Amino acid sequence: MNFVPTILLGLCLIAPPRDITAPGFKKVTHQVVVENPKEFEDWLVVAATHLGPSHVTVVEPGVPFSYSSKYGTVLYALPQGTAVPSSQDNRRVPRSEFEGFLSASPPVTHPSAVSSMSPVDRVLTTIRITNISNEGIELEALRTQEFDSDGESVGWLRIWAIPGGIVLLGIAGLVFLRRRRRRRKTTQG
Amino acid sequence: MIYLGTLFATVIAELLVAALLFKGRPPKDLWTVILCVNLCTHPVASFLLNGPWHGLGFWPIEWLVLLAEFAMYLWVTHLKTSRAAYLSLATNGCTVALSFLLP
Repeated sequence: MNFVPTILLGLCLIAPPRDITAPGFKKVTHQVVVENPKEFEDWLVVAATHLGPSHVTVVEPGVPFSYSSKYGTVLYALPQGTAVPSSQDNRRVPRSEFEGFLSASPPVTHPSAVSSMSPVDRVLTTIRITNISNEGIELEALRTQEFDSDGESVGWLRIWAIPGGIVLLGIAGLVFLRRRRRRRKTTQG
Repeated sequence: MIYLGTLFATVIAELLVAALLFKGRPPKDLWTVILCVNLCTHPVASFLLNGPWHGLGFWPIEWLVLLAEFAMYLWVTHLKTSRAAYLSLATNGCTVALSFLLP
């Protein structure tokens, strides 16, 4: 029996690699939508992923694009008229193709995996570009929405109403059992 | 339903482990206590895994569950401290192992 805490402690100290989903978790599809990429007329905003499957997308207002924290999706601002680097023959677009362009990581805070019990299947983060200058791109996260596999929005109540009720039931049961035990003790005493 | 299914599987696994630990002669009310303890800790652990404290990670949360269940066994049952600790360790050790095996 004494080996159980040792094993648990050992595992506790091992940080899981980024691409391994811990038991009880599932991956969710992550998307980002930019509200105002056309507000900055001198620039063309592009989202690119350099690791894993290659994605280069010209960002349109209100149109979601795939985001991956694992593969490092980055937003680039290219001066208008610049040819957008694109993949040929399904080959990955190297990061060097984007060298010298302004870039920023989307401010996405939602985890890439959620509890396997969660109805959440897709997460959409809406961001806004506050400034593009030679200093860089400034982004602001506006909201994060969660959707189930049918595309319905998932609210806080839907996620936690049943588990919350179960916790209350458990607490009530424990209090009842504790009281009954004390009553028995008093009767016997 | 997925949630209730995993809760049900956890309770059954912990009841079986407790039955083995007490060789089929558990203290009075132990089955009900195990059920109620899991009704309390399982959704909270799920919230910690899914909620804003996601960064806490799987193993620290498992440790918190283990300590919480140990405290609850001490509070509600007649078990000695060492027996309550063994019960919490054994039941949670088993369900942690199951969580890696089951989809």
